[in-house]
Amino acid sequence: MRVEVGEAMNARTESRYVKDKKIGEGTYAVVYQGTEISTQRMVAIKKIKMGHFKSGLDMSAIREVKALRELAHPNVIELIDVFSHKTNLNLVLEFLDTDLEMVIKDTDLIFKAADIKSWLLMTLRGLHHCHRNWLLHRDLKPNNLLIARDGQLKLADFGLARDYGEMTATMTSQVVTRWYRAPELLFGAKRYGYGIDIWSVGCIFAELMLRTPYLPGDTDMEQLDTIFRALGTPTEDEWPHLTSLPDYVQFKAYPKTPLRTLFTATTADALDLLEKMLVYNPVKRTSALEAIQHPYFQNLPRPTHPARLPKPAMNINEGSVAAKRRLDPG
Amino acid sequence: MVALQQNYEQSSQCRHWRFSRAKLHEIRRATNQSGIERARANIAAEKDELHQQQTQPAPDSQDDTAVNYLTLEDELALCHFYETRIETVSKYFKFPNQVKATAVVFMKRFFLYNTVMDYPPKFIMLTCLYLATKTENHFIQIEEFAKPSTLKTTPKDILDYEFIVSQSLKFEFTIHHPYSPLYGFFLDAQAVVDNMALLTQVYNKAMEWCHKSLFTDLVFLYFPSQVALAAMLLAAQDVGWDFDTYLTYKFTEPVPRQELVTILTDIAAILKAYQPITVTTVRDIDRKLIYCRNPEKDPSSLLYQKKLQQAEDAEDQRRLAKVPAKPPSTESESVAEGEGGLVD
Repeated sequence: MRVEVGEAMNARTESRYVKDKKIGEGTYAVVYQGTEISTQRMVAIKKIKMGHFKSGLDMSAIREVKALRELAHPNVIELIDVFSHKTNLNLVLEFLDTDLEMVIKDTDLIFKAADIKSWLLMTLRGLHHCHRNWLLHRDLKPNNLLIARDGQLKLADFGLARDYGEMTATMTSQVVTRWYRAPELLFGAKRYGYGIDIWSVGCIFAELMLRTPYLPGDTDMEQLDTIFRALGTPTEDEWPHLTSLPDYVQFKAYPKTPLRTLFTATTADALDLLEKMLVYNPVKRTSALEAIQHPYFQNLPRPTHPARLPKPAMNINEGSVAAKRRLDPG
Repeated sequence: MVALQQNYEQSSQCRHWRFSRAKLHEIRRATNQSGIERARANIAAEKDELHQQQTQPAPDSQDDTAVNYLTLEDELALCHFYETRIETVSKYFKFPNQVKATAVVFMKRFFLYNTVMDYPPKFIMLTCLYLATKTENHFIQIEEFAKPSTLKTTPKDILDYEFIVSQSLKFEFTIHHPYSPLYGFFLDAQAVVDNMALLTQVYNKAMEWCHKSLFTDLVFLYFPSQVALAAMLLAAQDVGWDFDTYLTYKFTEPVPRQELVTILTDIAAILKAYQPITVTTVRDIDRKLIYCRNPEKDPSSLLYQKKLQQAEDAEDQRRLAKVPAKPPSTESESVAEGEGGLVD
């Protein structure tokens, strides 16, 4: 038998793809539209710039590659290949042309209740797959939920993802884009679990119904204030050990207002699920699997088939706007 | 339990890094063989270089026939030695078990398809450890990592190999160790055990066995959960705990249980047979390696310098062709120092 050393394998991988054109550039990566030569399949090649990081391969590249190498699921972006070229790392990803943020912002599109149910279900399926592999995504938001040409929604951008378990040490609370950040993170929790991703999904669910971000805070402090105004200030009773969180500060005691006041046109089962995702006590918050099994997904209307979901009218060039925006988190 | 098992079967470790004993041996044999071929061809080429440049013949230059290439057994022994050095370095930095264990597995995987005649195991060892600090969320700055003078290394030495190591790992960075399953069995066994003090002893002993397993081939042969359970079996023998009762409680079906016992017995035999390598053995191999390193990969060789120069020329050509106005870069990369000795 012949064995192939790593360098030769790498060169062979690299030779399987061509970069066609640049479609986006951010501070840490450039994205190209490319082709897998043998199949003529369109791919996205994310070239990670290494120069700015003096300690070699940088952590977000490691995290993304490490996570995606283990995850194969229709609702998680596919990492087709990885190769290095000189000092750059290249990720060959499946080509996806839009994202949920663009869909939400496209005022020409009308969402039916069944459409929202479909996007949410795909999000939860992808997330459940991550969680059952002991992986937290830690940056769920509409523009990290990419949408394929066939309508399938895929979790993407795993640059903050990490594995967790009973035995892992403390983690940083500086994760997740602010509007989608769970209250325990805002209070500086260093030990947390899948609940932080569920909170984000809850915010995305609400945003799909409202067509505007549900809890937009300008600073971390204001974020908490925004959350408490909307959902009532939590008490030690409903959230034990709340006051002993590292960055805990006392807030004005806002009353709990029923979700119904804001979500006037929504069905009771949808609101019940939303409420379970936005429970303050992380331990009591629903899990991805429980959410998937919630009556909301069994009750009518049935989720829209992905292929029939509303999609923004667009061409490749517009798609590049999405790619660019994704690389520069605001 | 079932869901987790299926999960493991989908992992890159199970899909790409699990072999039969025969297959494992075949891969290593082939790696060693092609390594020797490469080294032989390049040692000849290096001699030609020396001749052409009319430089003084190297004092230890000798006939190719006289070169003793490393055997597969030599290579394994040398790798094993450096695997155990990972422990020493980890202790210095107070890295957790997870980092250390991952680094050992990285190194094993690397030298499955590469040979020490191409890549100096000391540097690969340090690169594997540094990479493991990143993949196990225990990142430290490279300056800090390369600082201890006993390591006799520079940030460049370590980072130069980072891509080469990552490529050989197929960029698969998730490593499953027996530690987590062992902890799971420990919690689980509390359901059938009254004597917590004894069970804790079993657990601690089993940790030691799991640790030993790192330096064997078990990571390529069995599931981490199987290794953990075998470690528990051995620990039970060590401290006198009734393992069978737990096994019967845990695995109620007699036939799969009997199959499992066969596996556990095999793992236990491998663990008990483990022998650490002696420094004297390694010294001899390391000395042998000085003469059979592939000069193509040795920064102090003429062949290496020539290839480097060729690559730089090609790069300059490319840049010139691209931007004619801009003069080509004249600075050349400083060449890393060659390495001979062992880690102190």
